Amino acid sequence: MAEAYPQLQAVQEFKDLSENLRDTEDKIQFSRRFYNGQVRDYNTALQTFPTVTLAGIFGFKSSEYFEVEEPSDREVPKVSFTPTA
Amino acid sequence: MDQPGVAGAGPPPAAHVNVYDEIAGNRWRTWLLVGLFVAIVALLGYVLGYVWFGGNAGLFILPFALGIASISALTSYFAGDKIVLGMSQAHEVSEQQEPQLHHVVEELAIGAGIPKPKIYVIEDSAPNAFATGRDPKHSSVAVTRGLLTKLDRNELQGVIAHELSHVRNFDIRLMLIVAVLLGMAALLSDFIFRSMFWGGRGRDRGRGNPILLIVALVLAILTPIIAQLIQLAVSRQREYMADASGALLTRYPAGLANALRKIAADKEALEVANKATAPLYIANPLHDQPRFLDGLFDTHPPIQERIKRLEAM
Repeated sequence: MAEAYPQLQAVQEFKDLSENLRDTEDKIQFSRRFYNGQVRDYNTALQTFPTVTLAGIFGFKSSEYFEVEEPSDREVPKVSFTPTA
Repeated sequence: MDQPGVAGAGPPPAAHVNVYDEIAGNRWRTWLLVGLFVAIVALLGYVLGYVWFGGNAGLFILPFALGIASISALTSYFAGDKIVLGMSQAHEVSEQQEPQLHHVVEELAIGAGIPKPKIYVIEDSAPNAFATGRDPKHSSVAVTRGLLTKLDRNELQGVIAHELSHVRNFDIRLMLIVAVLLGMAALLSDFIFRSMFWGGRGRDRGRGNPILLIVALVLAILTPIIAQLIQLAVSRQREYMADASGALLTRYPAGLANALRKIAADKEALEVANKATAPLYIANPLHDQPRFLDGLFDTHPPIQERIKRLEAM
């Protein structure tokens, strides 16, 4: 998008917008990563000694990773502007 | 960058370190250090009391020495971050003032699973950064103005990820206590030297055991050196660890590698940094001249080696 309008990159509002878009994207990505990291550690603990014995006694079940099922949900949302002037 | 949707689900990278072991190890090292510090100060107090006043004065001074040691240990635990931030002339910035910095810290705090630290800026053009605090709930990240202007977003992310790894691993508590105790030790030995110099003239009546006098002198010389060596021992390996777990957090080692390259290329010294606070920073802020036994007294691993390891990931 910015490639089509080079002068846009110089505008502060546009910079703020792209910063906020990146921030939002990163926050989603990092949340997902943290969650999946915890699931991985937890599932590993379920299968390794000595925690595996306790997990068996108290019936802990393994968790599932967060995965996006819909292929369309995985796509990065398109941002587009219609020039008003 | 990862494919969205499968981020973090893959096998752990080779650099995966067990955070829980690290935290436990740091807790134990912190206690060991505080114990060692209290013991050395008490010993100093005892020997000095004997040398100055003779007889049982050493025993009389012992509780005072213990008191001073405990108070400084407690101060460094509860107020050390304020002291260090104050010494570095860092001021807190709001999200309105520094939106990008706030965003980067908040994102990575989410990724690391810790609360968002308070954010400080040091108005100095030398690029550098440090984190401090007693635990992740009471932590602060400080970056210089130079870091903000000279690094792009990916590089900033690399640096902040490194700092937040220090926060998550409780490195910050250990380093903070070391920094304050080191300052304290330097102050004490300075005080002893001065008092010996002045005391040696007026009361030079052959009182005081010469052997104990030598012991006091040796202790006064050794205390800061020991403190320094402890600091180095705890700080160098830690930098590699934080580089590795920072890269694990961003999944982009090149960001930190590029940042380190820029920091290394910058020849300015950070004026607000000193010997006690230098090990807290991501890269040695002092740029001091190579000295005798420099390899032994380096607070940071060579930056080229760090870049090499990051690029090998």
